[in-house]
Amino acid sequence: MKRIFQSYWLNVLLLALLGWGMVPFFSMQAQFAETVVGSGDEFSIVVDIFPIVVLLGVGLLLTVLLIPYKRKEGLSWAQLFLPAEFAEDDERERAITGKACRNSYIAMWYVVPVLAVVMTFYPFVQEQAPYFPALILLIVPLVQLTVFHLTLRWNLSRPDRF
Amino acid sequence: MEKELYNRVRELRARFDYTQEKLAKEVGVTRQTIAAVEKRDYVPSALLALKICKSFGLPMEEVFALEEDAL
Repeated sequence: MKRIFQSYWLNVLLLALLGWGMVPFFSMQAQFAETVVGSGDEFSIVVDIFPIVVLLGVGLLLTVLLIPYKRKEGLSWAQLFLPAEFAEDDERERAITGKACRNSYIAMWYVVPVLAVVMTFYPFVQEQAPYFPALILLIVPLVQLTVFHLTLRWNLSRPDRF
Repeated sequence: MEKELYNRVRELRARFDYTQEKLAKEVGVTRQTIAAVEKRDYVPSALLALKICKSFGLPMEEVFALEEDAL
């Protein structure tokens, strides 16, 4: 289960990279929409591809590193596509994962309405941060990940709480 | 009030000279799960309980019970 804790920060890093990578995508779409909607004859889009390259590079590196590692651990091909969090060793760990999933699901019902309200402020920041919705959207998996891992940590380090 | 599941796993392990690790390996779980069962922090499934009983060669009622006095 140690690897579960290790994968939390990896997941947070991937989410952060995804958020960073979404920023130029939003900028690109905004420029494209301007070209389509506007009457300009010129067509030019300027995109900073560095964050996207970093995201794809890290994704590729992790795939290349993790697949042989997971295969070495004896996981089937089907299990390779499951999150590392579900690599439980026995029924107690499966029960704890189930509890973490439950808490994560409950957290979603609280965080989504809050974020829906936060989204209403988009018109105020649209000019300065057109990528605002993408960042808000990524808060949902971030909260779910955090609740999931806190539940695991809480139950595994203090089994009397389970 | 919900009744707790009492067990004699720790006592039987000592009697049969089993370590937590050995029992865990025999029944196919982690050592931490055996420790949690002994401390009554975790209620094992019927399957795991039966496997534990089998490894001690005892019937279920001699290893697990709903009331502490029953053991």
